[in-house]
Amino acid sequence: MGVMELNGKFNPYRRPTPYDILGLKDGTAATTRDIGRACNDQRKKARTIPDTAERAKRMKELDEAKAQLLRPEDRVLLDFFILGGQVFVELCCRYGQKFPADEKLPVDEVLGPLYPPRRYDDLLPEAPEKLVGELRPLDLEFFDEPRDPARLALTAIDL
Amino acid sequence: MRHFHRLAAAAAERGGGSADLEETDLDLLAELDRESDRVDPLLVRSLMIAYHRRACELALSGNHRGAQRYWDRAHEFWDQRIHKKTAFWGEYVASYNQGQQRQLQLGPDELQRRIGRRMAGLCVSICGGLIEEQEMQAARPYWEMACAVGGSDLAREVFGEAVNLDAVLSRLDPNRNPAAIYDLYRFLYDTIERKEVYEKIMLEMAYRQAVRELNRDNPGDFIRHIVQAGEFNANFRVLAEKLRRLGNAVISAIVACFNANALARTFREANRELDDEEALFSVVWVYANSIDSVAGGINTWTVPRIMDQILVMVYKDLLKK
Repeated sequence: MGVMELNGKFNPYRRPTPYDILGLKDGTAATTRDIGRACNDQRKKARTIPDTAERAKRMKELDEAKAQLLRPEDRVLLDFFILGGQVFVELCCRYGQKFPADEKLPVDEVLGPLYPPRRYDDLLPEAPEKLVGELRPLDLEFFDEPRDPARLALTAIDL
Repeated sequence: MRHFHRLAAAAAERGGGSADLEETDLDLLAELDRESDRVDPLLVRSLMIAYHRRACELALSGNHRGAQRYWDRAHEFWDQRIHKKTAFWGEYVASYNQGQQRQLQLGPDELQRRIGRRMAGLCVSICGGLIEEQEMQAARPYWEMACAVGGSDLAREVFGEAVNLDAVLSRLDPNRNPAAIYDLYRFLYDTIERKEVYEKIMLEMAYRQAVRELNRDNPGDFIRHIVQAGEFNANFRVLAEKLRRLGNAVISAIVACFNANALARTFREANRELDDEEALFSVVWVYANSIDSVAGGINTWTVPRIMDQILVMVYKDLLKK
């Protein structure tokens, strides 16, 4: 027996969800503004689709996804069946709140892996050597050592 | 503290994005629920959805046996912990609305009706998919689950929307495969709704199959299909009883005698437009009805002696039509 195709309307676990369509990763937590912004971004991208029919289909898909998510009575029917990885985080919070205040909780152990420090790697250009010679030299004076902060404050008062 | 550690480990592993829960996650949630001193709507909903989704995945991959225990657990949660539980819905709506710009205005009753409709709809939809694949035996439990979740009226209402019967029927050729159509309507009649139109179609299909089996000289199945037709028509009920009295050997003798009969052969060649299969059926019908009027009854010896006489009666009738 092969994989069965269901009437999508009646499958609460159908993918892509309206969140997937709009590219909202943390879907159930998305605000109205997030939804509107995501839809605008996706519409901008959709405008570049060369095939007219394909473009119209994508636009319709985006509009329907947005409309469903902006109607709370429709969105709840979707959200009720979504079980995100957040469930453990939320349960953790609930359990954590039950502990007495003086009990030491393994905070670092719990929160550390959930919120890794940002490494800012994404701000670096992929090939920095390509930029050599393209940037104008800055007409600024640099010092190896910073000025003494106490003296800075005095200078400000003098002015 | 032990639970907190395990939850923390699960949370760290899953992070905020992954929605795929492992079997161990389900066990952890179930354990938390068992040992929880008060009802936690988040935990209850998570468990029900986790079981429900796993059941759906298994069912869609064709593993209905494996899916059953997850369906049972999910529906048990729905029945006993969620459906008509005012506290659950009150807390769910309150936490859902927290921080939302657009508030959910649905009352708990309406919300649970709509969620129940979606759950019943999934079962009906799988039931429809299995009907399309002619897996009637596997389809039945899904219908029963849909009725249990949303009630039979709701399940019937959703069935009309979720299952395209015309598309299913268009794939079945009544001439080549009457048994498949009969089985489909039998399922619809026994399981979904007792419609009169289903009765008529089943009667027609049972009759067609009976005629086919008779022409294949298969008296056992011929009688079986006449019995099926008898469920919806009194004349066929009487005929079935008389055919049983005639017995398989006599019916086989009638078929052999009909095929070898010179008069029948001549008539066949002269009237090619007439349905020969129907003629044989009518002949057997007359034999069956004559069972009490022929002195000494009808047996394999008496069959050839009265064949010509019966053929004349039958052909006269056929020509009149």
